Amino acid sequence: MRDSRLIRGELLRTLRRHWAMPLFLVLLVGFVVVARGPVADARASATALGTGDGSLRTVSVWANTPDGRTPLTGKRIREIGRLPGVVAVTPYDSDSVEVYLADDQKRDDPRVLTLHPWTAAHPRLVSHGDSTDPERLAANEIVLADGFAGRSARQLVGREVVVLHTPIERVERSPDGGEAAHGGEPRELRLTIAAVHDDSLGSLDGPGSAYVNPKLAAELHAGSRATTVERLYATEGFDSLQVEVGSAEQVGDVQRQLREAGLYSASITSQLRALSPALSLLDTVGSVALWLVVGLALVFGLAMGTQRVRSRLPEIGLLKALGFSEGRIFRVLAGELFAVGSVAALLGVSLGALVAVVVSGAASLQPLTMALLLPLPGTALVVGALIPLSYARRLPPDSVLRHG
Amino acid sequence: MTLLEIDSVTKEFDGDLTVLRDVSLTVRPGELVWLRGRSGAGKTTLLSLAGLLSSPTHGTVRVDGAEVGTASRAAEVRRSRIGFVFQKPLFLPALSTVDNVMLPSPLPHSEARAAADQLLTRFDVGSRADHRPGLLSGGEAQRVALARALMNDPALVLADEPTAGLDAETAALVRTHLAELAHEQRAVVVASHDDGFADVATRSVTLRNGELTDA
Repeated sequence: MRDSRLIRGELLRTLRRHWAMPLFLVLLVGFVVVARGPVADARASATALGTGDGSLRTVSVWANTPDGRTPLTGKRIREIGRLPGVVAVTPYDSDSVEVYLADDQKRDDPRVLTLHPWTAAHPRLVSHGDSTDPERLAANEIVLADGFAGRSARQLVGREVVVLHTPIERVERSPDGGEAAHGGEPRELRLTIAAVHDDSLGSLDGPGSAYVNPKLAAELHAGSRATTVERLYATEGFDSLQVEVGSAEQVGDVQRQLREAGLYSASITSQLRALSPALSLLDTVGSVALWLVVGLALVFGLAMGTQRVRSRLPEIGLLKALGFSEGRIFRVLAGELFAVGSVAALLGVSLGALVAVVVSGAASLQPLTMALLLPLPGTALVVGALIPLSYARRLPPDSVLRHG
Repeated sequence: MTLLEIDSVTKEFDGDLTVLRDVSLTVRPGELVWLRGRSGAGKTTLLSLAGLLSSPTHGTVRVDGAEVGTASRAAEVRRSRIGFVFQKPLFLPALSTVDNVMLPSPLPHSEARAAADQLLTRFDVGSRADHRPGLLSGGEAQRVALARALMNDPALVLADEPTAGLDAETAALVRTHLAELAHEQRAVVVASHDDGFADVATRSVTLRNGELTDA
């Protein structure tokens, strides 16, 4: 008779009659599958944010003076740019603009969007399209919110929008001492939608935000202020900046220097620091749960192995009497435990995956964790049972028969 | 030709309990040897030695002329040459009756199944093939054990109290089956208190205080 029939028979008997420990393993494995998904997501996001992504490396800066209006001019921007750890400084004033799809019939009903410069903080917001690098957003490109003009992301990327703006060509001093802007004729600026961002992520700038190349953003902002870009940098200045720092670890230091320079600053890093204990706790729970599976399966293996050897001495003696070798008896007993653990793992992974999909969506599934979990309980059960199994196979056949 | 040769065997336990003293016994094919003796006389120990389930403290046990040295060699001889019937029929509860019968078979599954069905039918328990062993009556269980003992077509059959706890009619049936095995030129050794074996045994031997008489 093939050993697989023996193993299958004992597996079914165990699942029918001795299901408490396998059931516990099922639930434990299921919990790990459910817990590891969000935890791994959170950890991956935090890692990505802290390294590749710019959100955690970005500091928002505002002028900070008693009159509330000390502009951030080009000179100030250059000073900030020279602070240790600072990589780039982008003027970050927003403007409301009217936008409509270039091939839309309803040109007389444009949407009003708040336009911002595209910086290192924004690529993680992209949900569709490939503009993940701030350097790549060209002067004729725009990133809009998903659902713009009632269109899905798939329908938006690659299409053109028209942005209505009023550029100022020059500002001259008038004879009465005042200043007069020249230009001011409304124009249509055609931009290609390079990517779409997901507003539901809680974008940095509120709903209805759109992003363009920083240089273009500065030009549009100058137009809305009835001035030129040169004058903005030279005298009028900007209300806020976004400062890109080399790494998330340097953010605190840069913020301290900005405070010393008399500037307000804020960063996601400092906000996340408040959440870090919760993230650490989740992370710990996920890791501990995985090791708990291993540890408990080892203990169960020892318990089940001991219990099986004790309760099945007559059976083991029978197999010996029928000519089963020590090695074969060990293989059969170990195979039974491995099968029990593997079935528990399979059920646990399936159950956990089901719950995880229902609760957190398919994206929360961790295929690597699930693949690792499948052989883990079975292997741990066998390892845990090594001592009793070795004892069983070495028992002389007549002594085990007398136990019957 | 001698199939089982037990030569001057002594068996001691823990160095101070001598169960068998200088026991010698030979069994030839076609013989049904009835091993008698009071409880504790050493019958089961002698059957264990004959079935290579344990090794003697002194003396030799040969099956088919070969002395068995190592545990793995003993297992191989048990697998290929010896069939056991125990006083309390032992089965693996996770397997069906027929699967239990097939346990010793080295044949592929389909051939083993056919042979097992044939043996179960021979002992009139064919209808119980797919039942769990726990559902068998005492007599059925002992006949299923007989079927299993023959599954590897053994030259030597060892039975320890095979009729204990059975009613007279079923016990007679089991004795008859064992006698048939001897007629098939197998060597059969039965340890039993059942005097009914006097009618079917070709020879009887008695163990008294660890020593064999009437051999």
